Amino acid sequence: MTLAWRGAEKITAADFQPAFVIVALISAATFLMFRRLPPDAGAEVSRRQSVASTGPTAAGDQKQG
Amino acid sequence: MLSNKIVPLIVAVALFMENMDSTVIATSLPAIAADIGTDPLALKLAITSYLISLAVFLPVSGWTADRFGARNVFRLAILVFISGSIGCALSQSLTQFVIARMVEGVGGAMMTPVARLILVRTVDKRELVVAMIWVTIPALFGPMIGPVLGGFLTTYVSWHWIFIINVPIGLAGIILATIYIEDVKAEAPDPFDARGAALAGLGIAGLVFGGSTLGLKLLPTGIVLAMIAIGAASTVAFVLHARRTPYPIVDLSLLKFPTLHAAVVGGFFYRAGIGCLPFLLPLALQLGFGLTAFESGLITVSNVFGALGMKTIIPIVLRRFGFRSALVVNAVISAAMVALCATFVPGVPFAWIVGVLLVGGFFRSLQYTSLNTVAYADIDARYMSRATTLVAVSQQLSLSVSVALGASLSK
Repeated sequence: MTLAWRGAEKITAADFQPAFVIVALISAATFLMFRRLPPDAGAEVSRRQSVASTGPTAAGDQKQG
Repeated sequence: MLSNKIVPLIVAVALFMENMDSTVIATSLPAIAADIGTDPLALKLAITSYLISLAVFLPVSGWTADRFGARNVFRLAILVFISGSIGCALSQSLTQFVIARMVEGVGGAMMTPVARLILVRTVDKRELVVAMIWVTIPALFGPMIGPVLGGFLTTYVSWHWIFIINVPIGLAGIILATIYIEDVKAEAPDPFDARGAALAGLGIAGLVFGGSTLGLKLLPTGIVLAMIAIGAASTVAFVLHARRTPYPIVDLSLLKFPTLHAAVVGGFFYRAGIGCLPFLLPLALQLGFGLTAFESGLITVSNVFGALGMKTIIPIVLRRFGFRSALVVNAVISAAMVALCATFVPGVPFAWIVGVLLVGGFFRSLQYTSLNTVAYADIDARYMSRATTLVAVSQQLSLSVSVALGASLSK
């Protein structure tokens, strides 16, 4: 804090760059928690048809890697 | 069915009113302080007293809705909220502001969770994604529109109108709720968990008020840390109590459902991070580019259009990929869009800033909508009120973390 006080007399847009990156990293890390969801989580609500019920012809519903 | 369309709208209006409130006041603080002859910082603390009553009443919202009927509680909550707003508009001193804001807080505590409860009970599960978009957008963008509206009203009319504007909106909400919302009560309401309500109320109030004032730097750090410590201790005591009682006021056992767990725990950290954006972005634009609050508000509003324009696409994305893939991939994409805000330095094209915010607004609303919806996917109708309470508490806590984080990162 004292360093910032001495170093810069005026706050510039660049001072906010680390802040944006840090909050982005915190939020991005939650993907690890969402990965624990079962693949068909909330299928009734998302109205996602399971691969089994649509069969191989429904190419549009096939999972991509 | 008409109620499938109009209920989300009623809920959205109430949520918008509440979510806009805090930021609408922020821009008007200097004008109000000058008018009632007080220090802007003291006034800010008085305004923040809202969070105390909000936090105390949040845990009991689900039980209250079951006991007295969700529609009744929702209408009463709006009435209490607009009474507090009128009180704010009439306030002549700091004490009066504290009292009026605390009244608003009681209304606000009941409005959000009960509104969600009404929504998840009224709307068919298959229509829930579309309905939740209407709940997500006001919560997400109320804080961004607030400064524009607050700046406009304070500059061109008077600060009193930022409070009075809640009266016609609230009354419309009450009338529409009376016509379109069915009165649903729990068949056999649980007994009231008084000890749990006291522990949870004190715990959440300590954490929420402490966290928010830590960010605002309004009180001596020692006092704030003591409040957070008391809040944390009381929260731990509540968790221990909840394990022993059959009807805890906040039912943590529901976290056994992976979908609710993802929404409450994953959602907490996601919101805590990205929730800083409404604090960081205006500061970066105002201090970094020398824009006024009104101008920066006009830019951040492009976020809203990103979300509004894409609201038809969200159900398609979820149907195509399912919640798991959408949440996992989009956590990274939406966060990357926030990281791109780091490129906002003087000299970048204006179109780039608006473009990043527009696209970012879409991905963020996709994530929030998914979280808000997946929470209730596996919850039995009987336990819905407990789930909405749990979600509301988690969101309020993450918001305080955001305020504290946003403030500490921007100093």
